[in-house]
Amino acid sequence: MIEVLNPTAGPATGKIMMAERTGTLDGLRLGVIWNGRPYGDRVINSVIDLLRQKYSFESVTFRKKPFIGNVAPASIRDEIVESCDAVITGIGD
Amino acid sequence: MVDRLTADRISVENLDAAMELYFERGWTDGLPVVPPTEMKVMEFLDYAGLEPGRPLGDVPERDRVITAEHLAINAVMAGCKKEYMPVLVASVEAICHPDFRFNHMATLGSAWPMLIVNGPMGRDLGFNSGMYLLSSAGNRPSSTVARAISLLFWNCTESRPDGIQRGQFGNPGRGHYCIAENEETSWDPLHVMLGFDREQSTVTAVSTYPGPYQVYCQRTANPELMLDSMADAISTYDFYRGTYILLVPPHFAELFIQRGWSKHDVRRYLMDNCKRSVADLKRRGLWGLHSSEYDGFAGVAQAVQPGDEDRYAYVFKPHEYDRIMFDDTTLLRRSDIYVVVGGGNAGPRLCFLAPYGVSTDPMTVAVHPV
Repeated sequence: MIEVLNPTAGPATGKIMMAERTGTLDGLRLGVIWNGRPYGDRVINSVIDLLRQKYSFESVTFRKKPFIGNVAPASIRDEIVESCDAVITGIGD
Repeated sequence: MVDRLTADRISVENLDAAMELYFERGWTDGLPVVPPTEMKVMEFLDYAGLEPGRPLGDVPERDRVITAEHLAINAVMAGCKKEYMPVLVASVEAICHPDFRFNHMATLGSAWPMLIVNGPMGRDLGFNSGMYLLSSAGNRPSSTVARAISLLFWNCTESRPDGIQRGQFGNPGRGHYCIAENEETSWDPLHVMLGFDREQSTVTAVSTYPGPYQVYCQRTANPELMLDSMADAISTYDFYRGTYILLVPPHFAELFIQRGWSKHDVRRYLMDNCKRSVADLKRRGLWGLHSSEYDGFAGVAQAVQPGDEDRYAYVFKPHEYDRIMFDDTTLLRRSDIYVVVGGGNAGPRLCFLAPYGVSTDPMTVAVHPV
């Protein structure tokens, strides 16, 4: 018998956590971050239009990330944290 | 032996069973691996003077930290020798550096980092800088270091097609792109051009799209005419900005050197001449293709206007059409050409590799000898 080693890094470190759920979207201040990919703004705006048919938002703050592949800069994150109750973002092409 | 490794251990009957295990678990790239035993992995770590848990690179996009133990296990599997560990460590540091960021593992374009080893270690460890440069050439350091990095990200960040990888065609350079520069010419090698001491070994990681593209350039020994073929080829490719690699075989380098051309001269000539007319770009559907701010394009034929034949957009040089041709993400990245001497010393072709330049820059880090 020989013993060999598992080469994987195992599960994620857990530093990235699911945000607390808001319950309802009604009356919330919504933040939206577009990853900057061409036409992504159109997709996201369509999503907002659909959501507006079901919910009434107090405000919608729309921001664009300068780098598609990196997390949004601190200035955008801080603004969203300060002025929004929930945020919609995503990756995709 | 002190039990210092944290990886799960799996008991198997013999070496054959061990190799089968790695296939069954999806822990290999499709080729057999050297089964990583604790003794062998400890040899690698001890050689490099690394504690198993030493973090070598953060991959926030995958919420993972790559440790020395992860690297050593995958290096053993790839068939490396322990002497390659310093180069492997530097490779991970370059790829995980915040300015490089391997945030494009899942890109549809199948980008993968090419590794260029410069300085004494490239030569002393015997990385390939010559014939059959970009393939398996029976060269152990180049083949196994490239494979170790591939396996590391395969196993530790799920960078594989049944994980998060979504490349359309894949990248034949994955598991192969690890070269040394031929530093025998009078041109400064890449790391010296980038500000390192000649005797300092370095690893440079450049994310490249599948390629490479070899271009017939030796109809003449005139530097401008040789490079015009290359400028034409680069401009005909995606017309995309970023840091390209130009591989210049040593006999070509001598032709340039004899005519007084430095690497800077080659780079500058290409930067000035990689261009296409607005009319060409429109006819090919490239006008505005990569910009999110220019409306009315993307696959829609655009009318060529009077004067478009004489107006030019440039691959590398800032120009008035930048906002139409490239997105913010690209315009903020480095636009450059790394001229690297390498390849066989006969033949009529130069070679370029096109970058993934959307959200990454090349990164060069020092290799620390043990």
